[in-house]
Amino acid sequence: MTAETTSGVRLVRDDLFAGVPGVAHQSADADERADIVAGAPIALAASRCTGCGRVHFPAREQCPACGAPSQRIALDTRASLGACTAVLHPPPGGLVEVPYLVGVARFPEGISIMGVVTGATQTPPQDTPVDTVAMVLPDGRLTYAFRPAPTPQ
Amino acid sequence: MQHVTVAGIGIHPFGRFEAGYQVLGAHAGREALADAGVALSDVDTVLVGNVGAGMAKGQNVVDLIGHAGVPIINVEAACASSGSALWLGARLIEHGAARIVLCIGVEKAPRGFVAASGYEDWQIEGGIGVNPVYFALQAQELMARGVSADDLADVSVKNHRHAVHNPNAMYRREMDRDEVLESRMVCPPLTLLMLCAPNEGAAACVLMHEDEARRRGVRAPVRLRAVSLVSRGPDDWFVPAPSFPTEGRTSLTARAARMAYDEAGVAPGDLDIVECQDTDSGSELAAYSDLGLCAGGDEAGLLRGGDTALGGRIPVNPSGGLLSKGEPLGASGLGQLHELVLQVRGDAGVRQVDGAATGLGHVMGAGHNASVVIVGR
Repeated sequence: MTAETTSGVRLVRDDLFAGVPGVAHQSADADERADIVAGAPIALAASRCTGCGRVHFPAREQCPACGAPSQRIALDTRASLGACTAVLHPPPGGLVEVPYLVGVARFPEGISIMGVVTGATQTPPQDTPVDTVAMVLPDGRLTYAFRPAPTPQ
Repeated sequence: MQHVTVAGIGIHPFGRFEAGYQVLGAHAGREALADAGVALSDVDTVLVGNVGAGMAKGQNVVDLIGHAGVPIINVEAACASSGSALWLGARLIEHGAARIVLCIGVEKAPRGFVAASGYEDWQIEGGIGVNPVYFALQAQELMARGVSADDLADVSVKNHRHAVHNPNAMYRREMDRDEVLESRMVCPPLTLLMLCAPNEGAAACVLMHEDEARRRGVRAPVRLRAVSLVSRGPDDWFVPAPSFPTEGRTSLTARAARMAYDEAGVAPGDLDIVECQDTDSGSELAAYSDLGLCAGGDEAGLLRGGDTALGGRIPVNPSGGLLSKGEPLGASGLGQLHELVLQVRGDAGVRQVDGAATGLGHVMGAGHNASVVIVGR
């Protein structure tokens, strides 16, 4: 399920992002994990049910809970980090270089989504604000990751 | 559940073996038939739970037992495979479609992480389709409400202490808290010794209508008082789902448990023993509250008080659990039933729980499956 956008950017699944702003490719650098994050915060594409209001990611055309049609929505790019762990040993089929963090981001729309946490070497504290950003895999395709938001100066 | 008994049980030890899955499954199946005092030709239907073996696996297992020409149905539901086979077998008898059903669970799982748990490629390649991550996130949530790393270690210490006396367990050595904590970190806070190892083994049971069991003079029938089976509801979260509702998340285990308690007409306080899905230490603690053994938030208290150890108020995983036995995915549920029936019969030897009359088994699998079984005198 790889899609190529008009800008030539390939995603790991074509419907994860609500939009792909001008993403610049950057090479992965094991010493500077923040560098694998490309470009500005992006919005994930989810769906909200027109009947029961449940939000799903990835988006569903029909709500799996109640069967009503769902509308596409773009999630807020900012979320709050919940539980977080790390992957220390290469899992089967994974392309992300270990070690890396995986956490759950809680979005204002009421959905929690698992994702790689980048731009941090230690597990950030609970409730850390995170931005949703594009992450380049070693094969050049993009997925999403969560990055602790810059602290206001 | 009315009129269904467990008339016989069988098991092939859990571990690593040269023999193929057919041999392991047939061993357990033969043992269960002999225990019930019936022949394969007496059986109306054979149900075989398995995840990883190839085409017509149940047929290949039964081929080694005999050629009786009876229907054989393969059942796959990840770690809930043999729980699902048990559910189906019990319903066949309850509704008059069979008098005697042989259920076999068997697995030869490869070493290491269980791959192919239903993740889409983007999850696997993108680094989040990793089973222990789910368990580690659950454990982190438990720690946010008072569970400590020591508690997580102590679940494993307890279950390994239980397994010393179980000849069918793979790991039968006691270990202390430090050894568990200092074993290789897999996904924080879970270390290697807080996670069960996928392995090989088989377990089986013969289910029988109670009239048939009486007519045949079955030696030690144990009543199957309830068996529930649930799949994903609107607000559940388990492998392989990448998202869940932040508020109002529900538990497959809790739902399966409520159904089973209702069907059996028993309450958590009536239980003498529990065998639960201790895929990891945190999953056992989560099961304490999901199964109603304690209120949410009191899981660590139940463990620290010794209530769930052998000798305690409600021993959990007296067999040693999956942490000590290892987890042959398709056999785990029937392996639990084997322990429950031994205990209720009073045949569990050194690990016998005095007066065990009512026991509960619980499995939960990838793809959102959970099954709870209650047996009793």
